[in-house]
Amino acid sequence: MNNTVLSVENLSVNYGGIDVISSINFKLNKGEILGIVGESGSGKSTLLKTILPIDDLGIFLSGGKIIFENKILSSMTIMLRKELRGKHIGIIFQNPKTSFNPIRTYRKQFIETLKSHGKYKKENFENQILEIFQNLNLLEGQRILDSCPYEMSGGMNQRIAIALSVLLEPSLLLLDEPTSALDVTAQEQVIDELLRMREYYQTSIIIVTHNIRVVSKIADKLGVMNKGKIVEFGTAKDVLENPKHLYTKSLFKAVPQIGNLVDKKKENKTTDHLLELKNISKEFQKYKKSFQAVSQVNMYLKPGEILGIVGESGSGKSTLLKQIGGLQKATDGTIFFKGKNIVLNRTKTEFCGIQMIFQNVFESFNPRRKIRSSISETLKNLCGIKNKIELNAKIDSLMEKVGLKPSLADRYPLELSGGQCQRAAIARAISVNPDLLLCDEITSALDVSVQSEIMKLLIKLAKESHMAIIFVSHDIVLVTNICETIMVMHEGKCIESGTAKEIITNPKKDYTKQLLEYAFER
Amino acid sequence: MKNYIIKRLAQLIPIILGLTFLTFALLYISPGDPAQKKLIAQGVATTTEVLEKTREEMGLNQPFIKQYADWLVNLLHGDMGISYKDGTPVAQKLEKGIKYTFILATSAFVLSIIISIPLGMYTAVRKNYFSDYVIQFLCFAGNAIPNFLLAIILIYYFCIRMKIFPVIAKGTIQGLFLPTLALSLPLISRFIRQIRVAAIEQLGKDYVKGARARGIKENYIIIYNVLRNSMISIITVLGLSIGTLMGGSVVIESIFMWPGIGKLVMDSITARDYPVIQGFVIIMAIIYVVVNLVIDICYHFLDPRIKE
Repeated sequence: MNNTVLSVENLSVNYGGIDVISSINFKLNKGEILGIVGESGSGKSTLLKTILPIDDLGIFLSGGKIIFENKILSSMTIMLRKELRGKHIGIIFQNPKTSFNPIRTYRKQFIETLKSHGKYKKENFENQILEIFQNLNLLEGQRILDSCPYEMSGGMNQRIAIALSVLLEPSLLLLDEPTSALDVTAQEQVIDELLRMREYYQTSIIIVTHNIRVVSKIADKLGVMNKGKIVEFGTAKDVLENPKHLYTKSLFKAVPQIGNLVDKKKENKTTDHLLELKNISKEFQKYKKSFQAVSQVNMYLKPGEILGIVGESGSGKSTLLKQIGGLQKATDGTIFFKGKNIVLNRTKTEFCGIQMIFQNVFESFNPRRKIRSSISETLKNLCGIKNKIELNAKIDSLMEKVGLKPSLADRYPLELSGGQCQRAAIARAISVNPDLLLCDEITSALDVSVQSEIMKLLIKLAKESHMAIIFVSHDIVLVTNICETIMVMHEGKCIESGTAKEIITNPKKDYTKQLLEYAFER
Repeated sequence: MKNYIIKRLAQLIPIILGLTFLTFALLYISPGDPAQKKLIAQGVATTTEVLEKTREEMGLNQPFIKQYADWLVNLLHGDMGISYKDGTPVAQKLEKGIKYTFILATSAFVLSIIISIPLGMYTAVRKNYFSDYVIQFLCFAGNAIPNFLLAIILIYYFCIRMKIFPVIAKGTIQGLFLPTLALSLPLISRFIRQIRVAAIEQLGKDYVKGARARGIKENYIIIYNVLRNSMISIITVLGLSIGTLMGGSVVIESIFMWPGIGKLVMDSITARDYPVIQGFVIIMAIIYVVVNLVIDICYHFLDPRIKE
């Protein structure tokens, strides 16, 4: 009758007695891409899970209906809905590494998917897949098929997951934060692939994300969700250029923009370097071949300085950070910290002096210990505080310093939100009064609004305690908001460095230009 | 892969050499004069001259290293010495026993695998269902009951009351059944629990959710993905149990009169027949080392990540 693929009418969803989604209405036509943005906890992922439930999550429809290709999904039995998975509705999750069995070749996983849907034909299996790979611009199809997911980067895994869903020709594809674990370059490739998918196969797509940059590039329609409701809905162009709702405006405002560039380096009277790297290199052995993860990097940092390192995944930025933090030993070169070479061994004070925070906050805490016990471990071991009352008072003051209620320290990491947990990680790191804080992509898994709060916190902490920070990120725009100097890394080498303004306004290397181009395309 | 196996095989040489040295040294320093024991066992009167002559014959007057080297060379030729008890070559004695123990251990192991893998996977998939509770309870009981008690219960029901199987096994196929059962029931209980835990862990992984989202049939997910990935953590337990089965079936062999190596060793220990014990220890050590090697090679097949 029409080309509406999915229509959601007055949908309300209940979880544990509370409405997590209420009165949602929208229609999606064939070949259309709908973007849904909102912060964590706004109910956007729940919406996807309601359309196509995978596990029994304890959520149930308290009102409204979901119509997919003239069938009322919401009144179908679980068995019937299982039939829709993959073949009619595809779904792709946030963490690309885990959507495939890491140690089974793609070929086998493709075959079992096709077999499950009765679509496997041995003779034209390869041609069929290679054609899809080609359409989606995935090169070296044969090599991909014979590799295992653990050998591929996150971006490649996500693209292959999309290719696999194309193979089943679903009319609707649901994407849950498909790009948030990827760097800009990989994000671009995924976006390009989704657009090609729509072009070749007329698939309708719902993409749920907190990354407004991604939706702005891809979506035809845009819905903004807050507290379980769609507060604004319209064509992507309208919503992005002319947001009406207050919440939408505040959300867009939190997206980092280039503008408040720190032009000149802070007046730093001390000429002593806090940290100095000389020809730092790191080599890994793989199949008897050596692989240079970091090669000949030189840099220096003054006390209180904030340095940003940008580059895509695999450019060696995290490896470099690990050398500085003492988690890996450099194969070559020297690292001077407060004038002492710390490449081979470092004392307790030097360990205290350099602290590190990681991307995946939940994994950086022991899930079975309360935040308080994790922080007190650091205090006991590195500061020698043994008195319980003193420990608790110190932890409470640290929690307040990072903007958390002291009572949150008595929770387990998984009981906190990503932002809260990251703040707790910062509290743990600054508990030993470090001179240098290493931040490895600490905001990339967080919502934009939380991201900006964390950045503000870091700047405040740096000012208060005259602490130097090295901030590693793949988001060059974000880095310009906090850093005075920027270093661009590519294939293990430092290809360009300078003040934030120099890099943004006058990039010298093509690679930097490309990074900036992606960041500014809107 | 080939290089890896060759490398691992080469690594076995020093390990086995070390083992032989330790075994020889342990017996060398153990109290008692082998020449005297030999003579007593043969019922010869131990005068000083005879003793001295026997020592000369046995090479006991040589320095330690020379004795070890001679013994090692003989060992490499398959000569493990002569039993003090009856004067027959040790290798000949052990060979027969090992054959029977191997049959018993293999059948118990195979039976355990055949039963525990499907049941372990089943309990993982049906976690917290009634059937899971029942199987869990039985496993608990099976783990708790000592196998000699189990053996006696089995003999009582199957041999004495129902008269299906012979009481004395004596190496026959019919006789094999009950010792196999007695050995494998505790193993099955242990394996089921291990497999259940490993499979539950895998079932909670995101790739399972991903596979379900793609509409992959549940049996593909369970067999090719969950089972295979769980095997990586189970295989160590499985492999080590082979060693335990080979060396630890002594009690069961004695109860069922199974003519395996266990019974022979028990007798030799009581009689302080050192060459036989020495031979046994070496063979067991080699079996353990080889089983470990096989486990490591299996890891490579199951988890390609280990290659790097």
